[in-house]
Amino acid sequence: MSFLATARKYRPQSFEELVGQEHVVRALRNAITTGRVGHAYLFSGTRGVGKTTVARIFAKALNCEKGPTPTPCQECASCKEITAGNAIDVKEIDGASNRGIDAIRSLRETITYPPARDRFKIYIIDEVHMLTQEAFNALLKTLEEPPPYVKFIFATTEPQKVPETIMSRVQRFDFTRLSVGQIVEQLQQITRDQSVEATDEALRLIALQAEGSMRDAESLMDQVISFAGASFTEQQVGEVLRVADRSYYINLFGALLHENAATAMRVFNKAKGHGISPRSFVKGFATFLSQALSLLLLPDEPDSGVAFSDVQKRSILAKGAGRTAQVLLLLDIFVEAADKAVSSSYPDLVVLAAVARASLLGSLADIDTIIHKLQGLESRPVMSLSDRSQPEPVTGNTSTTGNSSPPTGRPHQAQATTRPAPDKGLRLQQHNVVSHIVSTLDAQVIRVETEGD
Amino acid sequence: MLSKVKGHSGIKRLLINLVENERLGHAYLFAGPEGVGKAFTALQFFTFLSCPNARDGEPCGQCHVCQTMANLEFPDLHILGPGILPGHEHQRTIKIQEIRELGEFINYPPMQGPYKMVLINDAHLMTTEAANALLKVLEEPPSATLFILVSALDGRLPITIRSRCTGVWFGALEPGEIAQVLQEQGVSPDRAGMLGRVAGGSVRVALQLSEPEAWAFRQEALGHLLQGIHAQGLQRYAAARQLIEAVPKKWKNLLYTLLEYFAIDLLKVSMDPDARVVNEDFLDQIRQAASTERAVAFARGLLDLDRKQVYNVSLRAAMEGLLLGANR
Repeated sequence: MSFLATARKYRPQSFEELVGQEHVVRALRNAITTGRVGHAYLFSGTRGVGKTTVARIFAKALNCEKGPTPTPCQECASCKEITAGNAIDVKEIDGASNRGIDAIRSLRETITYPPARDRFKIYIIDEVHMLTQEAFNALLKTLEEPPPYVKFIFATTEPQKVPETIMSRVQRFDFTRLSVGQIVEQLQQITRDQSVEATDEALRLIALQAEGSMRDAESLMDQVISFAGASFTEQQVGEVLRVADRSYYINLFGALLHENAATAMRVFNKAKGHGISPRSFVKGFATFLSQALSLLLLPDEPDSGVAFSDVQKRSILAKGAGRTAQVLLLLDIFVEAADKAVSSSYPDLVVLAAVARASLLGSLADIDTIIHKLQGLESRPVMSLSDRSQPEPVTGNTSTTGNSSPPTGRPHQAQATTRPAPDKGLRLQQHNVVSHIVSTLDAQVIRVETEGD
Repeated sequence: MLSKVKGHSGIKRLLINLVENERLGHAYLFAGPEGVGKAFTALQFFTFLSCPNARDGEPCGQCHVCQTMANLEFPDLHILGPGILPGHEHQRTIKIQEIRELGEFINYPPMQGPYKMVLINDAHLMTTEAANALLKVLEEPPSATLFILVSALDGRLPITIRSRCTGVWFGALEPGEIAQVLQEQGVSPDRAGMLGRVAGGSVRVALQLSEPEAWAFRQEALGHLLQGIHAQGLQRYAAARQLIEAVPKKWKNLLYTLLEYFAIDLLKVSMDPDARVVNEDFLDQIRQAASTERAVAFARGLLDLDRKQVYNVSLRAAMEGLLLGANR
């Protein structure tokens, strides 16, 4: 098989080739040059940001014939063997497959022998969070005071599952997500190297989809190249990766804000017809809504519209003008739907139900005036109530509000009166009222209790 | 190209292109609704890769390799998960032990074909331990290894697994494509066409409905649902009870599919009376029943049930809840 996935082919082999994680690289380099290398490290961070890669480079740096050096030679037997993955003194262990106490016991037996050829005996334990409790405990003593020639490097995506007792015995480095810019740069380098032609926007769309993971970005690009060939544009990326472009979302946004349920549903059907999965569609729309909301709230802030082109911005501003509260509700609904769609057996149904619910909000389009009226009704009784409550604390019967649950009603109103600044208070209240209406709609859902059959 | 697979022409082209341009990776995730042919496509693709006489995107179908592949006895093929190999129908989870055995399988080079091939059907059934044990080998398997993971609930797979695979999304099938499959199974053209339309894009559902008992159940169930959604007071309980009594044990899964299609139809019609529905033979009644509030409540009730792991809830409580909720 001649083809090697990009993420494997372009796995960095030296600190210089590595993209991002400068804080980690600097610390490790300094540790080597000043001769203060610890005996146990833990690398944590999301998938595909370079944990295993850095572990291997660090092993090389420590065991290089000309080392320890921050710039391993890549030519000596040790460097070459680590690159090939068969170095005799560097053991890479899959913590998820060898997770029991027996695996750790046999590891401890090998530790007692000094390295066969190289300077250090290095144990890289990947996915270390999957070790069992017993295995972790069996490791504690060794980890605290290993022989001088032993180094441990742990890598994990879930540091919270690693016990405190382990944590306190290692130096921990958190790997960060990569920025879109960093990913684009790396992709550019790869495209140049493979003589692939891609527009800047195309690579940007790939980088956005990767959500900070270089491996994701590289496998997505593999996918695009294998379908579109050696030159591709943004539109082709959208088609291959099956992500909806902005025009779908702007249409859906407009339809939902203007009570056009039928149109809204057609937008979804069309996207599905183009092979976009309901899950990616609804997730994309939730992201779109949050970006649109920040644009509506702060139209003049340069940062709030970066996701859109000028034409798109104008269109969003025109459609959403004076409907910020409604957009907020849409966001609520679709964030929930995006979340549900991940694990639901019925992703189609999740999206359609969200669209239908959102279209019901159309009847609340006049929300601003309702709220103004409420505001007017509220202000007087609230004043008298707070006046009264000062001399005689709580006992007063609040018959004026006619509410069956005065204790919950009061803090709301008190809040409104103590904060006369209309803007923020109003918005907060607006949200309260509106979410109350939504929860009334939700109240129709019956909760089914488990019952023995 | 892979002519035994109906529909999915874009995906077939993608797979064949990958091979022809020598860009085939080592791990793919086939995701998409149940019963649209994901695992079948994977097996056909494996056959194509292994067949020594394959041409123009087609395996020859005659040679020893093709035949052992068809019997699932090919030595370079390893299958995990329920639904494909006999004896695994009721498998609920894929365990770490199976993943360890898989490691042994791929450590030896291929014996007959160019690849060692692994199919993990319903990959979301892997336990957390199993999924984690797969990570390393999924990222850097020995050369000439090809993984295809198949799942209708790929959102339930850990992100660390998804990140190591190239995703391929399978959409629903067109009614005509389903009808084609049914006809090849000996269903008459008229009936195949009709079943194709009411199967909601899933061959599996169409095949189930082609059995008379299942079809009768569908008619009865939809009737009770429509009745229940209109009924008042105690009549709702009656409708729910009748619905449950109508469910043959064998078709419990089908009930949830029918509920899903019914909920989608209600929603669609409530938003657009002219929308294309799955249960087209009940269109008039669905139109009468569909108000947006009712449709949303029914859908949310069903989603809630799903979240609570349908199989552990008493069927009766579930159905009563659904119909009551839709009726407030």
